[in-house]
Amino acid sequence: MRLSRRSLARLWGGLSWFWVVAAVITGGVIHIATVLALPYLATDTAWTRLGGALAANRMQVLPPATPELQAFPFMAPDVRYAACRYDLSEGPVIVRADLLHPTWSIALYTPRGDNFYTVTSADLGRRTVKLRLEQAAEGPDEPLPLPRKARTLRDPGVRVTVPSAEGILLIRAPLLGDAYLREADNALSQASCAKAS
Amino acid sequence: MTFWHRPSRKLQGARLRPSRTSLARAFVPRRAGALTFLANFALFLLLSLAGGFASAWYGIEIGSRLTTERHGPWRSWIAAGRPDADPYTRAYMARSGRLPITSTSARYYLAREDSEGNALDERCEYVIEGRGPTGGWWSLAAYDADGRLMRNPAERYAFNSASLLRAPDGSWQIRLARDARAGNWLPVSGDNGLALMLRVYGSGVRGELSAAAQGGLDLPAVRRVRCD
Repeated sequence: MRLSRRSLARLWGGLSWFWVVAAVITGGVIHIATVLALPYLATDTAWTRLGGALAANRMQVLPPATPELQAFPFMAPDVRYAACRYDLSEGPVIVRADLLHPTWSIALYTPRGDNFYTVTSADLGRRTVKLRLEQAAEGPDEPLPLPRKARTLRDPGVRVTVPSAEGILLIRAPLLGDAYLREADNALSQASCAKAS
Repeated sequence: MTFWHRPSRKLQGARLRPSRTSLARAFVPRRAGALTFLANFALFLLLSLAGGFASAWYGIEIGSRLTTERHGPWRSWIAAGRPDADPYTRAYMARSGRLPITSTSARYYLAREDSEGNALDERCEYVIEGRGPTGGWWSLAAYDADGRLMRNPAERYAFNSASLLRAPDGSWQIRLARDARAGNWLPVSGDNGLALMLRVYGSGVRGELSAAAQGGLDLPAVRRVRCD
């Protein structure tokens, strides 16, 4: 159908501000809904990539990033990673790791990717780090029970309250050079993540 | 111009009705033919869908001044990894598939353009030069547009603050090229674009962040040398 200039002008004159205002409001609703829904709709999140590949409550040293194999996009090629999918449904989890350099860190994430806790050896003032991951208690936040006399020397660990029963823990060991590769791999392979006995 | 009837005493307390004044007529056409209705509806669909999705895409992929920080070609999401991050940062991070350390302990700067604003091209040669960042441990790695490392015979994918060769005055240069170059050569390959990631970790980061807030962060420049 060919539209003459006159009918086009009539069509233009027939356009209503009502529809424009309605479109702007609807566009705003679409914008907000898209932004809010995307974290739930995204299929290729770090949790879907790593969560399924990791065994629960077990520390695994991730293979170094190469063009053939990367655990996630933009993975650092000069950082060694160890990861653990923690699952607190059967009780607290104990994490032990030697953070050899001040730049090494342990970071805890919820399945949504929130990094709710990060610690470095510099923060604690010691290289050997022990964390006790617990779910938020229903009652008031109480300190850990004092160890019995015979266990006085046992380190109860830093108590970390975790907002979700499941999540990912990542140890990052930035390399200071190729010479530190073996040292980093050794330290990470000795790190542990296990259900508290 | 009155939009509403002034209520008479009789009508006080009763429901008010809008009058059909000129303003009301502007919003509600009196007689709409089928073609006019279709044209209006098409305009509505176009504006609402294109505007809604395009603005959401822009806010999530590009980011605004409220969510991202720009230093030359480098862009960083201010609240990356934080539990109290805004919805745009949250959506960007979910889509990216990454697990960044919270932005108070580490910062990630991504460049998809050179310092002149041209998109990075894997067929071109670049020089990245600077003096900083000065605090903590940092690393600069080259990826394709999707964040995959680039295959190269030297198996070299990044330079970091410990592995980089510096000039006596502390400045440094990294040459990004397909073929070997003298000095800090970072190989580029493939045909799926080019992106650079600069990550800064460690105890010096907090000092670095305050410097960034003052606009004094010394991030390197990315200069295009030539294109094949």
